[in-house]
Amino acid sequence: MILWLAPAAFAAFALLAGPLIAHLLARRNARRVIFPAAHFVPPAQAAAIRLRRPADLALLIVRLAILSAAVLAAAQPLFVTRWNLSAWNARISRVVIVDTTGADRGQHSSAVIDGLAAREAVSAYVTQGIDTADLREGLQRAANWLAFRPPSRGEVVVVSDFRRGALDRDSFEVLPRDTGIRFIRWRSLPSEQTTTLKPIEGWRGGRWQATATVDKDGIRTDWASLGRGQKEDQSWLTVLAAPADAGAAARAKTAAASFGVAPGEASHRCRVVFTGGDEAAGEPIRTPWMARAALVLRDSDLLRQADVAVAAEERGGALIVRAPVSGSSAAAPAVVRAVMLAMRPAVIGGRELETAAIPDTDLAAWRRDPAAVTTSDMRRRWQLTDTDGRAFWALALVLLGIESWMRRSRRRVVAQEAHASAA
Amino acid sequence: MVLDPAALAAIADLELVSKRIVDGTISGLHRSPFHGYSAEFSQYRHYRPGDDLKYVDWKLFARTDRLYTKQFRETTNLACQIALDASASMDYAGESTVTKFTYARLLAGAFAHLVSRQGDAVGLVAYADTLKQYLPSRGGQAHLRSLLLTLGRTEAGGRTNLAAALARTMDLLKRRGLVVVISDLYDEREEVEQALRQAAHIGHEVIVFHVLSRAEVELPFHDDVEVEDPESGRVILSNGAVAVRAYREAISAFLERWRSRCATYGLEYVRVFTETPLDAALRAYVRRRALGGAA
Repeated sequence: MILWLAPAAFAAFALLAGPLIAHLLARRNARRVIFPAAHFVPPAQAAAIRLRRPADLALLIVRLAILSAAVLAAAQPLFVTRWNLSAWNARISRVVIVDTTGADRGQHSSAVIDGLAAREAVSAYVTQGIDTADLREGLQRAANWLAFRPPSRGEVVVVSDFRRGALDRDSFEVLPRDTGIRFIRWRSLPSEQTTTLKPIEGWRGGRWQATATVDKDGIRTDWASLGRGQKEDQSWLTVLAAPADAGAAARAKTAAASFGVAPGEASHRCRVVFTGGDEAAGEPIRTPWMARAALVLRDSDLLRQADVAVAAEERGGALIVRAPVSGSSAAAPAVVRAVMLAMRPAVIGGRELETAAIPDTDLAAWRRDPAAVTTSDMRRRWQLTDTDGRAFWALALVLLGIESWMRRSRRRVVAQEAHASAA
Repeated sequence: MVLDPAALAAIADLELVSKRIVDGTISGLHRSPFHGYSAEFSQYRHYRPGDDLKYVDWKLFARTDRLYTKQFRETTNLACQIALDASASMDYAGESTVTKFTYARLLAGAFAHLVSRQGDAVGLVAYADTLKQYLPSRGGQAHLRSLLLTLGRTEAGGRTNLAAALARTMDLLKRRGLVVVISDLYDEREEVEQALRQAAHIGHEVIVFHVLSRAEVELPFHDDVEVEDPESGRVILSNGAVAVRAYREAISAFLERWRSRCATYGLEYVRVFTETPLDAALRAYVRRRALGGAA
């Protein structure tokens, strides 16, 4: 059975008309020879028959064969034989997804993970490594890569400590059914995890740092003062209100900052515009960090409790947040605080401190072996560097040599005839 | 030694060339291929192994118990007339290096030399649609030289009229003689057949040299061509690859017709190709004739 991986190339068969027309037209350019036995030479048949019989049929056939072989080669043929299938089934194309959640795993842990990944790579025909903190995103990338793998069975190996929430049954929907899945748990999670958060400026007029500890009972946070610290520059956030409310709006900003603000990008600037504030109309948001901040504002609990719906837009490289309340209203500090939190998000990662793991029973249920390659699978878009098109290219080259030889010999005969005719 | 037609054609002196061909042809032959009508006894000599037993005097052997061979001084009066086709169709070389006409001219010269060498009379009729050259048959070196000069001056061109040429040839021969026709024979009209029949009826010995190029037998083109007949100027469109089979059948039939036509009237038919060395062609013919082959 032959599979054509690029059947669109068959359209090039239209090129066969070229030599056909050329050979048909060549009949009309017959040269004249003087021949004493001319009265014994049978004349050509009727014009209609002549048109159906192109000049130098043998040469035409060779030329058509060259073009056909080239077109067939370009269509990327693949001979699917029993031998080929067994050879392809003996290969495994493997994607090793390494979970990078918890960057503090240490040198020893990294060596263990790298060793596991390398061991998986050795036994595979081809391997692709994916390092990611989001296993779902890693599975999507694995699926994309496997779609274009060489003819072989496909398998995904996930190396992780499998914190709870990292994966679930639906996570594997992105993988084709014939793709195998295996899990390697590189370590058991500790019963308690502690991490130190980034310092916060401005709370109670000082600099503070929190240490968070997660265990089976919950999360415990211990704050430690780092002194008065430097005065935090709050110029990245501007508050605009009606002239009569300007003082109240400034006080609202100070009150919001007194809860502490995490460090962030100084270039990310924002203007909060209360009713009566002088700010020209902006444009829809296109900058990614502004879009993230706008999403956080939309889900903000503070704004929900204050019953304020804000509108976000972009103008002059700054995020513009319009609040339909005056700068002197009671909701003004809540609006400013919500904007601060949206611009300088939380510093604790989602699963960094997770101590609960996905049970082995779940992993065993999700595991599956790679299915054998079948003839019908061959219609997929394999990443093929060695299709059997080479055979057709070789045939085209051989035919090209024959055509060249035929042309040379024809030219020699014509020269001899011309010489004889001239004589 | 092989006498290449191309090499011979390059020599301007036809007398020298024809002599060279004849020397090459009859060297090694024991006797002349042509016999006159009378021979005069000259002398006896002792028999030597290899002598023709036909000339042994058996009566003398009975009387003397010794073998003697009779020797004659030939006083032949054979008259030979060469009819050379000088039509346009003869001006064709095919894949050979010489044209049929050049070849035929050399052949005619050699033949004239051969006949003249044994003291017989030889003449020439060079024809196309009309008579181009004619010399009555005479003996002697001076006549031979004149004939060869005439041959050298003759050019090919015009249509073939073999019947007229044969009629004129027979007119020139006052008595029974040898008629040598050198032509490609592309003239099969009824008049030709009548002339041949008449020549045979009168009692002339007729030798027909059918001169052809190999290309004419094989059809030398394979693609589309406009084939022009050099004599009629008629042009036909043909395809070599398609026509080759039918052509070869037609040309074979043509050759067979001429062979059987000559056989019917008791004429000697010799087919020669321009690719064959001249002396080889002539020697094969002379040897065959000397051994009493086809005649």
